[in-house]
Order: sequence, then C-alpha cells, then structure tokens
Amino acid sequence: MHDHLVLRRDQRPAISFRIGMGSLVVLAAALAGTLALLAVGVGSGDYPLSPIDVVAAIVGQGDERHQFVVWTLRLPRLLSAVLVGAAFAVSGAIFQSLTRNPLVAPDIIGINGGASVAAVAVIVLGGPSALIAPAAFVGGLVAAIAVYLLAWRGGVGRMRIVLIGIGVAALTTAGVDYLLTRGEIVEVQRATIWLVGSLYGSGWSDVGLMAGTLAVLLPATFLLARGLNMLQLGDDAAAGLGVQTERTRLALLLVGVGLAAVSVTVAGPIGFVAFIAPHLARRLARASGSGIIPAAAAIGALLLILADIVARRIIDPAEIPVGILTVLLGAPYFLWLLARTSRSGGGL
Amino acid sequence: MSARTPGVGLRSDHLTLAYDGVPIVKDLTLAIPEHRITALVGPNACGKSTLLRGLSRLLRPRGGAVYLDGREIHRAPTREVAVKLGLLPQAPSVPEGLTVQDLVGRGRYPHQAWFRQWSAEDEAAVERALQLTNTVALRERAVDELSGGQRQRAWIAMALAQETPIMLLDEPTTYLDLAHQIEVLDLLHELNEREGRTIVIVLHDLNQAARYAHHLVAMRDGRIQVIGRPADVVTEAMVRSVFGVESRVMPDPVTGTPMVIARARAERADSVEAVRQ
Repeated sequence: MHDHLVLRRDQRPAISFRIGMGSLVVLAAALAGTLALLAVGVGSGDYPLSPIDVVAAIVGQGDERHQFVVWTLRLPRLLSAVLVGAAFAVSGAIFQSLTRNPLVAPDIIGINGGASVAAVAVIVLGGPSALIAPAAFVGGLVAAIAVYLLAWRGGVGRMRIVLIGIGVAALTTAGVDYLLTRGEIVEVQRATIWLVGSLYGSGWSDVGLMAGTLAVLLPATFLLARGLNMLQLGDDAAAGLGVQTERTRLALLLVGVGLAAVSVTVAGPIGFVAFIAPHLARRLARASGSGIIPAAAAIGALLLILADIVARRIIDPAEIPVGILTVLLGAPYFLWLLARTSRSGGGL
Repeated sequence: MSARTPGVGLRSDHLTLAYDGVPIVKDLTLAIPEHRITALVGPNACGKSTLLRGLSRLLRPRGGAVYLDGREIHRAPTREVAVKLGLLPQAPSVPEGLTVQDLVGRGRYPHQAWFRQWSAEDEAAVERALQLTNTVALRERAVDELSGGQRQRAWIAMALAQETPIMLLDEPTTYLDLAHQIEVLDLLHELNEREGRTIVIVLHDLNQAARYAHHLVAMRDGRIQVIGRPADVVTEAMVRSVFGVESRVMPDPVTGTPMVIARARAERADSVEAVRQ
C-alpha cells in the first residue's frame, strides 16, 4: 500500500512494521519544530543568552550564571514542557479512540480533575510531596472508573460519556474548592498556582518523573495500540478478530490515566493539550487509528513548549501560567467542535 | 485462502445461552455442515442472533458448549479461534475517515503481532479480499462516506481478509435496499462456491434464506423447530409453526427453491376462514 511506509524482513524471524506516510511526515515536522523551540527557549527570557553562551553553558563552560540559568532554570522547564505535552497528547489519543469520541480528553471527562483533588488534598493537608504523584494517579483512576461505570457500560450513546464526564469534572472542581477553603493560606496559594497549570519552577526531579513514566507507558501504548485499533470497530468485531476486549480496554485505561495523572502532578491540570494534539495529528496526517499516536505526542510536545515560551514572554517581565494560554487556545476549538457535533445530531 | 478451504467443524452441544439470567437459547444441539451455507431464520427474539453470538464465542454458555475443530471454543485462546472463525457483527462501528483498505487490513489482526505488522501475506490477503468483494476502486475512500451496500461489502472484505474457513454473519442484509441485499447474498454464494468457505448467516427474509442456503435452521423460542434442506423443510406447516403465519409455498419461478407467500397471521387466518364459512 503506497501511502504507508513498510519495513519488512521476510527471512525468519519475519519482522515487519508499517506506519502511515502522513503520520511520519507530521511526526518529523513536529519533532523538528520542538527541537527548534527548545533551542529558542533556552536562549530567550529575562536574561537573554547568545547561542554561543548557551552551548558553552550546556557543556559546562563559561559564566557560572549562564550555567545556572540554562541548567537549573530553563532546561528542566523546557524538557518538562516537552514530556508533559507528549504525555497529555498520548493520553488524549487513547481516550478518544477508546471512547470512539473525539470530544473526549482526560481534562474534559474529569480525570485531570480527579487527579487534582487528590494532589491538592496532599498539598493542603501537608502531606509529603512524594505522595502527590501516586495520589494523583489514584484520584484520576477513581474519576475514570466513575465515568466508566456511569457511561461506558453497554456501549451507550457517545455523547453520554462527554456529558457524564463534564459532570464528574464539575464534582472534582467542587472538591478542589472545598479543600482550598480548608487549607492554610501559604499552601492554598501554592495549590492555586499549581491548579491553573504551570511549568514555573519545574526541576530535574520533574523531568526524571516524566521521563520514567513515559519510558514505561509509551512502550505499553505501542504494544496495546493494535488492540486499540480493533476496539474502534466495536466490541463484537474486536472480539471476533481475537482481541481480549475487556482486558485490553482496562490496560489502555490504566495507561491513559497514568499518563494524565503524572502529567498533572508535574504541571497541574493543563487544559486542552490532550484534546487538541490528537485532533491536529489526525487532520494533518489525514489518518485515523492508533498510527497517529507518535505524531500526536510530538504535536503535544510542540504545543506545550510553544505555549510555555509565549506565556513566559507575553506580558514581560511577568509571566502567566501556561494553563491559561492553552485554555484560551483550546476552549474555542472545543466549543466549535461541540457545536458542529450537536448540529449533525451527535453522530461524530 | 485459494482453492478449497480446509474443513473445520463447528457444533454446539446442549447449548444454553442467557442474557441477564434469562435463557434465550435453550439446550440447543447443532452441527454446522462444512463447506455449506447455513441460514438461521426465525421470528424476532427467537434467539438466532444470540445463537450466532454463542457460536462465535462472544457469549459465554450458561450450559453446554460450543466446539470448534473438536475443541471447546471458550477454552481456546481467542486469537487461535480468530484464524479459524470470522465474524461480521450486526452493527460494527467505524472510526471517522478510516479508508476501506485500512478497514480490510484490520481483518489481518489475528495473523499479526507487534513485530509482524504487515507481512507479504497480509498484503496479498487484503488485495484478494478487495478483489473478491469488488471494492478495489473504493480502497482509498472513507468507509463512513460509502453507501450502505458498499459499506457492507467493505466489512465483508474485512472478514474475508481474516482468511477463516468459517464465516459467521449476523443479518448482513438488514438496512440494505433490495439490490444491495442481492449483491451481498450473491457475493456470499460466490465465496462459498469458489473457496468452499463454511458460511453461517442470520437472515430475516425466509425466501432469501431458501434461495441461498444449503441448510436451513429455523428457530422459535430458543429452540430449533425445523432443520434441513430448504427444499425439504420449507412448507406451509413449517411457516405456521415457526412464524405463526398462514402462507402458500410454491416453487420460486427463478430458482425453483421454495417460495413463501404470506396470507395472514395464523390466528387471524383462522378468523378469516371462520368468517368465510
């Protein structure tokens, strides 16, 4: 098939891989863009550095202040943006395929909200910060299970999951608000900044947490991706093709929640990246199915690093949390898509 | 799957299937003839689609068992079943924008693994399925933009690409207009003739079942009422007992197979007769 790149070895053990050309091109372009923005981001800021200074600082030469700016302030933050953006995007792609609904994303159906409640509870109640990530995962999982039980069972209408998800998201918002009224002012302020979604103050431990999470969950996604494609055809068709539907769906659910929850831990519940990146990938690559996941990940990385650089610079010398920017960009698109879907009778 | 397909046996033994504890198929024993087209017919809610789900391991038996190739189907690894038995469910869903050739390619899933995503056999099987179903010209088109008949051909192509000796189809002609119904049934007939695939098909239309099937299984209330060659078993008495309809049965002027012409529902037919007398 001419629109796919096929890598094949016919001798035993026979090996073959296939990726859509569209997805490949989008992946390459988004990766190139991300690298370019990384380069721009390291050099720009309140304290501009020339490319030569940046290179010198990266290899540990030159001015110590430069090294501090590059190694302690900018690189971990930029890398966090890349990894968080990619993780949100993959999570969004999984949930959109799993629910067969392009309006679904972990932030929209309350999974980020569930993670937030748990994380804020740990922050406000003065728990150890090592507990935030596991708590966020459990919170996200509880929200996902709630949505699943209320909406997914029996394969009911595809708009139902969005509506129930929005309800669950509202509940989690109420939970967060309640916790904020209970906390000490200092912790509440810290939690509030985190809740908007910000990469401010991201350190190497955040990069490490994200990288470790992705190192486990991206290969898992890759292994589950073909099953995900089959599930899109409906449970009966997937089962007929030899997919263990319940087990595959549960595994994908855990991976999707894991990616979203750890991202929320690092950067707060940043909105709409998970929602938009898979859309852009499908549109640009003119493809559907799990083949777009790598491209979606790269686009997510690109979007978040771009948003963070803009958020840092837009009202110089102050900065706005990146989460506000992504919502400003994402919400209109979501509403447009929602309006279009409603007009066509929810048939998407 | 060129030339003759190897025979693989499919049978149920005292099979009971239930939804939410309510038995739909009751103590049903049935052997599907190899290399033949078997049609499951019966009134709504008689259990024919449920039986098909049971035969294709989608529904776990409440009692009894289904055997594929002599092995209990629910104990066999689902991937191994999927290379012997293909299924076209009643209302499969299709992602927006998925092309025909990608849909057909998904039929290769049971033959693949994460490190063997697209072998030469996969490619050949997809080409063959597209040709057999006459969908080569549609290969680049999005499935959700096709007409009902074209879409059904694409789905059958996907089931074909799975290259299973047995194919089960749940009402593949429902929602299609007459021309597309004939198109789909002719295609299945041809597949059976040319490749010797065993086909089990749930059909609504008794005349179409009588015309296309070698073997007819008529069900009512979860049990087999009548079973055999259409020419032998389609009678006025059978139509009355299975469907509760008074009818005349005469040879189909085109094929010579039995043709049923309904007169009235059985009770009403009685009253009509009574009035006449």
